[in-house]
Amino acid sequence: MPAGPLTARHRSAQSPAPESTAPTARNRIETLLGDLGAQLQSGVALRDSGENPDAAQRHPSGLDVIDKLLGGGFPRGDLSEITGPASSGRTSLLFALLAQTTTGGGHHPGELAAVVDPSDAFDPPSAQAAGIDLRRVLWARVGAWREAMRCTERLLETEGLPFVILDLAPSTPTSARPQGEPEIPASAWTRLARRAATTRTALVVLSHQRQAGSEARIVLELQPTRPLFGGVPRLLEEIETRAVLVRHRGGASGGSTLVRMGSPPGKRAANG
Amino acid sequence: MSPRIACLLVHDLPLRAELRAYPESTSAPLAVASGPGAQADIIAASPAAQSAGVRIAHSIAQARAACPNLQVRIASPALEQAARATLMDIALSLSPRAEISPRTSGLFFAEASVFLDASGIEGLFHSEAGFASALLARAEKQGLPGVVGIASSRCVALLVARQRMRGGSPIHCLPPQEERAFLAPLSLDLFDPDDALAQALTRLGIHTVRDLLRLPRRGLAQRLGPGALALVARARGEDPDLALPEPAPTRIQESIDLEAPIDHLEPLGFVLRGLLSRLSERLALRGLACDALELQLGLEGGARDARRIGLAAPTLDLRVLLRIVTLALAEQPPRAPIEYVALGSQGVHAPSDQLDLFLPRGPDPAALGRTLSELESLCGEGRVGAPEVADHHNPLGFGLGPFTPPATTPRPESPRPPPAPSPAPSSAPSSAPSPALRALRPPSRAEVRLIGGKPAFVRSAAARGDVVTVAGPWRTTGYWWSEDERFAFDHFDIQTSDGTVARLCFDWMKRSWLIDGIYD
Repeated sequence: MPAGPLTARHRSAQSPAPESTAPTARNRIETLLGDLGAQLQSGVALRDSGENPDAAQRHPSGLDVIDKLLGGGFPRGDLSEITGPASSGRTSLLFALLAQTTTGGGHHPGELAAVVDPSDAFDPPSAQAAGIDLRRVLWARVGAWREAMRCTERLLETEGLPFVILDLAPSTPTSARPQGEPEIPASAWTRLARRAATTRTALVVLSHQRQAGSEARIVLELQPTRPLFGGVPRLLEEIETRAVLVRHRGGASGGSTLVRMGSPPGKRAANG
Repeated sequence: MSPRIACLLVHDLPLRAELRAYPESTSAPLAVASGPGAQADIIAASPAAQSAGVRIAHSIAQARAACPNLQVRIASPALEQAARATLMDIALSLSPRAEISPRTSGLFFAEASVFLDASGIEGLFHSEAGFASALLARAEKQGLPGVVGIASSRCVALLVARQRMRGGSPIHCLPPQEERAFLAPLSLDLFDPDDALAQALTRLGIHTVRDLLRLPRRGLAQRLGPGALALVARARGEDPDLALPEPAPTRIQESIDLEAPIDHLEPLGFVLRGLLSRLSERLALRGLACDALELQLGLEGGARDARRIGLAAPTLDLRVLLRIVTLALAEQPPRAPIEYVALGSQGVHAPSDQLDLFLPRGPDPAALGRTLSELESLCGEGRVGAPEVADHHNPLGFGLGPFTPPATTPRPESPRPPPAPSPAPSSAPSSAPSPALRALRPPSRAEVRLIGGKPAFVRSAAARGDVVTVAGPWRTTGYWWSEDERFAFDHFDIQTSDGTVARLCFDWMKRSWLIDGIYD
């Protein structure tokens, strides 16, 4: 008997015809895709389950009442302003925001943040006490507002830096605007807002009064009510302030809430 | 398998070195002279100058007579040194082992050649010709066009390259089996024998390798001189040198002798831009980035000014590098006009990062490095980085370290906690971490009136008015053993009648009141 046909017949008996393999392969691919889809869904669940889908577009402030007032936090890809006089709790709110960003609130991986600080007012010990992971904070001790705006723009151009703070709050009440220093032009704010939108970065500007005009999506004004001293020996324990949502583009503005920036017990004793 | 050696040869290095530094002269008739004065020899000339009649070994006067609009530059050892080092960088960008040939003083005094290990390059470039093309392209990009010869020894590769200089394709890959046939008709001038040996060979009518190899070896050295045996070995294609070494890490430097002293920053900027451009291109060839610059200035009168300019992060961004160097010079100008400038860098490998599928994507390390460097150029040296808590108790102290964030944060292993209870109504206050302090740098001086040992009235730029509430004092002292660093403060937390909550302190060393922070 010739070997060639026998071998061919033998092969066809052992393995399915090419036509019959197609459904099997398709089934396997579909099974694989199903598994993969389930894994991807669980990955999403790890990150966002139980949250508003819009929450991924917001930076939580670390303060529940503020998040509720803002509708989830400070928006990514937009410019927000925190304004108020000295001792109104602007910096405390900022530190809460930084702590939330750099540590992820203990639930998410920490992210990086940059602070552009023309007033040179950032206080590392105070920031560490507020729970900020200082390793994830880029601090630019810039000299003048022009350089500060340039620094901010450069940071906003950097992909993967999700949170930038521009601290324009004056060092002292009398240095709100040094003599002869021009007002920051509106075009500069437009430019920063566009940069923030491009890289989906949350830009938060801290100042004594509104600066960015209509470019700000959110303006949160802090009005100091009273500092609370208490305990024995007497300690500065809390600063109580009223947060008023002055502007919220695309949302309801005018809401307000009372916030206390409190001192954990024993802090002062530790500083000794 | 016999080794394969590639030779990249630039035959007019003095000219190419000048054109690297002054690219605007590329199309002009340009000649390089061995020194100043009308009788100095022309050692290299551009094609435009040669077509106008300028020849090597002309005097400057003869050359100017042949070409009235000729530009003449004096050969610069600094530029030639940088050009030779660049050849080495080009070679090392394609091969792990390379060696630059020593300078020669004979017929080929103007040439520079670098030898590369080309063994086994087919896996990367498919062929030796492809490798040679890549080598040639990189050399041309660096302003050093030349020819490439590939053979089984350095000596033959150099001869192949020198043969290519006489015309034809700039690339010649010589198979081992054809080397003997290639060498036989070559003129002995290509071997650049010393004058005595060349005269002896000419007297005997020996002009080619074939003629030389026909001579009996016995007594050759006696008849022709001690260099004859070495010449015969090279004519046979034998390479007396050892294998190509792995190069030691070297500092990359670009320098220039200025034709006239510069005493202003703006014209110096043009010089610095050229130097930095060439430096960053050479660093890029080696896959390195610049983490610090070493600037050396030769000043009028012979003085030297050397400084090291650190960068916040490794970068090759020319704009950033130029700005940082310019800022450093503006802050501390040199004491006299500048005659010589050198910029060097050791170079470091640019940082890289491994992405994690389940973590937010951070900035690309290279992009972050560029950003950091640019920020530092805007803010000043040492003013950009990660904040650090100082390792002492001085309340005015703080630190600023390099910004090197941890690559990843481990995801918490515990399951996610249940959602927080709904927030309290807006009338109920919510508690947050401690009141933050805004530091005042420098602290604001204050006038304080005391009643019963406690501040009762404060007047300063930061806060003024009656003290409504006061807490403290808390005393902080330290460094009592150091005359310069000792400190002692009494701190009070005060609320003034204008609503400001401030940290007031009495500095026992200076006996003065200060406000060093505002609670905000």
